[in-house]
Amino acid sequence: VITQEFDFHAPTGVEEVLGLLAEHGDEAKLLAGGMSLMPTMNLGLARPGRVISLNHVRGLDGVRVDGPDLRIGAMTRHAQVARDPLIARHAPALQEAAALVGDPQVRNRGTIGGSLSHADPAADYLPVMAVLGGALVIRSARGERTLPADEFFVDVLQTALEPDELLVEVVVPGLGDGDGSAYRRLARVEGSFAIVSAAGVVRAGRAGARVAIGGVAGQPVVVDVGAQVADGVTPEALEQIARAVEAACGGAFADLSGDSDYRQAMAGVYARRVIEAAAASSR
Amino acid sequence: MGNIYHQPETQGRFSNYPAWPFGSSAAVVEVDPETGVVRILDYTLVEDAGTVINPLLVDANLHGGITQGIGSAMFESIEYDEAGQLQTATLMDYTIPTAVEMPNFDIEHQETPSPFTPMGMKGAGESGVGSSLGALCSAIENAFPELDLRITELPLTPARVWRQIREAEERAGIQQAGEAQVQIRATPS
Repeated sequence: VITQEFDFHAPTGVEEVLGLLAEHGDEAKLLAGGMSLMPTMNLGLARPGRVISLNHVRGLDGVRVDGPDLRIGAMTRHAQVARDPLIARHAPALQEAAALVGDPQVRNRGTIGGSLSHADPAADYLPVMAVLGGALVIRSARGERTLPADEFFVDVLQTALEPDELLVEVVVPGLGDGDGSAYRRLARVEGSFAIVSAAGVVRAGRAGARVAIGGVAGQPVVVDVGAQVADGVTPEALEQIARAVEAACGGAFADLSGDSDYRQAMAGVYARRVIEAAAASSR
Repeated sequence: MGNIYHQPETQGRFSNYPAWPFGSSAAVVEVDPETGVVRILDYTLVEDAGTVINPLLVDANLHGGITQGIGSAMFESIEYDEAGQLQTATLMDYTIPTAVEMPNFDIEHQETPSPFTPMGMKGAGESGVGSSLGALCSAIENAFPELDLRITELPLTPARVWRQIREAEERAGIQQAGEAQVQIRATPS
């Protein structure tokens, strides 16, 4: 139950949002799909003085191709990301991740921009953005800037967003010919938060490979595994990848779903599985 | 006891439940040895509710009972931190199974009328709960015939099952190979 009073704004244009943020950013919370903000307000963990809804703002959703990149509006719902043909073609790992966010109700309301701005370490998009080298377009009344994913994600529920800034667009470099990618997650039941998640990419001709692990640290742990796959994605190479990623995930998070040792071991297992799947999906 | 029917227990005292659940379960599970994730492939319950008046109602009660049993065996637990703060206060943290996690149930009935109750009826529902815990633990143990796996703690979270498998492997002197299938038993000298 939300017990405190707050002012509610429902602007219809981006400039209007930026104006409100410039004036009230410190006490305001942006409402996208509300899949994280509403529970935290209901539990009394967030008590913003103002809520600015983005749900009536024009021009913040949709997917387009821009040269080698995909540009996805921040208010694009997970369900749209999961079924968009451009995303399926150019960033299939992002589509796989979107299809696994929460349950159908969450996917119909929640947005890619909301999830990325909330920056829960267990969120499905984070490792995909990290492994593909995605970027985030941020606007404020002061101007526009673009941050790479590894600078945007700072720590648990912390991003580089300033109080007066709005995430407007997500940039994902499209896969090239012969590249392969995949996303995998370990969760207790369908729809629950991932215990460990993994995104992997293997470049054409095994010219490079990266894996990113979510759920183990404040931001995705990215490991370059290009050297391991250079001579082929063999069982030995996959085993080396598992060891390398496990070593990079020391001191992994612990919670009710698993202690630190378990998460660290699962990071290795899922790194191996996701690289195997990414190599198999190369086109 | 006013206008309710009451069946006292053997020493004449009030008994608010005049019958005990009778049920036995068998489960077929698939365990991922690398992650400890358990999937229930098949599940059968044989139970005895005494005289059955409404078979549809009995089956429906047992479906709920089995789901509760599987829930408590595999997912549900109330956890507190050191300060006594409840950690599982919402369904975000307290895990319950949904239709996705449930297998298809087969239910077989025995009908042994109770001599102690009107019309020979016994409880139907609880018979689905109790035996699921043992059946699932035993099925997981039996999935690793080469290991001395003894699962004595619930719920059967992936992390807990994974830990039990690792410890049983250590006891058996098995090195964890990279590929789960390539488990080599060390030959005792």
